[in-house]
Amino acid sequence: MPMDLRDYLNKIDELGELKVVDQEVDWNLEAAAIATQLNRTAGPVALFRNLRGYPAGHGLLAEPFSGTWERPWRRFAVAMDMDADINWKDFLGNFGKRLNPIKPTVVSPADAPCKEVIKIGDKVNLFDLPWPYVHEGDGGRYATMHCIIAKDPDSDWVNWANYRFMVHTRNKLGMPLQYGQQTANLYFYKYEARKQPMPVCIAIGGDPTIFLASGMPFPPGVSEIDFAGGFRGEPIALTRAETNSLYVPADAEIVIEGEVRPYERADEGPFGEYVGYIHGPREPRPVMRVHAITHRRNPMIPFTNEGTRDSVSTSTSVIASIIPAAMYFDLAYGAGLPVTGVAVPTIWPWSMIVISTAIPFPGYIHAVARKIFSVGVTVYPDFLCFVDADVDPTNAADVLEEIVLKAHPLNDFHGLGRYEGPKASLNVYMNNDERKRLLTSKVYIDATTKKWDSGRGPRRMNYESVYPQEVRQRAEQIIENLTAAKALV
Amino acid sequence: MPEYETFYGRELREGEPFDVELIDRDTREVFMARVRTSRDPDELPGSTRLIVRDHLQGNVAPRETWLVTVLKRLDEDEVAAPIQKAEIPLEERQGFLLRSLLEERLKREERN
Repeated sequence: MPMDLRDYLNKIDELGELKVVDQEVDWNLEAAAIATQLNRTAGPVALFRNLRGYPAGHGLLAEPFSGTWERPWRRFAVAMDMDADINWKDFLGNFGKRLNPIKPTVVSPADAPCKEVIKIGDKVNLFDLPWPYVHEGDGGRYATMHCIIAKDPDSDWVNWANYRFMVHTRNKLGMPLQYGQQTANLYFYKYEARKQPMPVCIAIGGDPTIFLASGMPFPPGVSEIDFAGGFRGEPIALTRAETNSLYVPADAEIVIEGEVRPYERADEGPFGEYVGYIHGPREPRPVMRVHAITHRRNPMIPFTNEGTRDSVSTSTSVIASIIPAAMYFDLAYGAGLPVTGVAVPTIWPWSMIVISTAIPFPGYIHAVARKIFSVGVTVYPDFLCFVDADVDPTNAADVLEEIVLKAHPLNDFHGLGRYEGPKASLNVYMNNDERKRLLTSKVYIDATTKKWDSGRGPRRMNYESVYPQEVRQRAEQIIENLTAAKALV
Repeated sequence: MPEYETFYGRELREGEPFDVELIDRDTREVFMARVRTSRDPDELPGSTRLIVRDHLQGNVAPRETWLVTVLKRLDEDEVAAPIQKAEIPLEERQGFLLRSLLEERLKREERN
């Protein structure tokens, strides 16, 4: 069944996890503060429908995909028509089965809800929409949940990607495109090198699988929208943009059309990013000139509070957990590796991949690590950790315990030297030179149980394993009959 | 009266007019303007508060109270910085890369 953002919200509402806020809320920090508090308590999704200075009905949707401590992937499972209580391994298995592209279909603009309101040229004003000001100290009002659509000028390939953007003026956006990312490569190496403007559309809302697919590191030449169709199990409906030849999701909430001109820059940043820090510097970055905005009646802008580190999860940290995990789980299964689980714990978004695995032969970990770091998704995580097959890779506390207890400080931390691959420049440890040159390193950690020379290691202790059943029963009976201290007085 | 913010990596100028990027705190619109700034209210009667943020982390500079008078909001065509349109792509500057970059920098400084 097709599903757009509104269908998804209906499903979340059926679970009792959507709250509508009709009290006036300020888009300037207040909506984001409420969203952060809800994240900290694994609260409901909040839809703000009465925003200061905006017509009733223009909405901000806070954290549509954040989850719970136990199941950060829960709401995204609902978005993919799975059971809300599905476990992580089954979620990944189901996800892997859907990694098959289905080409989109095209519908007439007359049948496209995203064309209910059309503003072109002088009528364009980005400030007609309630973009949130998310963190005190951000360089402007930011959008964080959308996809940016750009076409390769030399082929039919259309890239769908998700990068933040900042609202500058009524018709201008700042786009922090970074070398190594696919949209950035199209712009810097093709359009700008030929002194041509790059036509761009930004789609906000629509089928949640589009947002998911646009964050996935498929290789150049692969259109993410095909995989969004695969995740949904049927083609995604697209319609033609008003002012360029790109196609956009027909049921998007908002579509922004325009171009990124060659050699044009405007200051962008800082912004509170997913790693949990406000990152600058504010510096010149490419600019999108907006030629048209189309949207549904009563449009809503989904947003995420990236970087709020004390949160259970955010919509993007969930995505940052699902994407690499699903891809590596699929890769490992396809290769017949004895992997029982893969995850990026949501409190370490995009930072460490954890793999639960048996060790079938000596040297296995080294071979797998090098394979994984050769795949494009590692533009983000620099750490890879192997744990025993029975360890839950989604549980950050368990993983940390495995590292500090089982990884040998000298022998089990393996650095790969200077790594000059594409790299997101947001890690806090990077100095200015490394940020500019996108240099880093990669480390993998063997936190699996080591066999001692005798072939046997120490025995793990827990309540069940070191106390016989009769002792446990008596202990529990004594605990039940404990007396309050005041009775002794 | 609207209040403004700016991100600035250097000391702001006092007295003479100059061009700077401002952010309207009410709408968060970002624009270039020709302004006069000062820390002394007597120097700029009728001015409004300017919050100066660190361009690396977004922090407000401690104990820095600035005032601003907007003399003119600049059209994009009048703007020299930060919208910098490089005159020649880098790959086409072989043999005169440093000289051309230096010349452009001097031109920008003259305009500012």
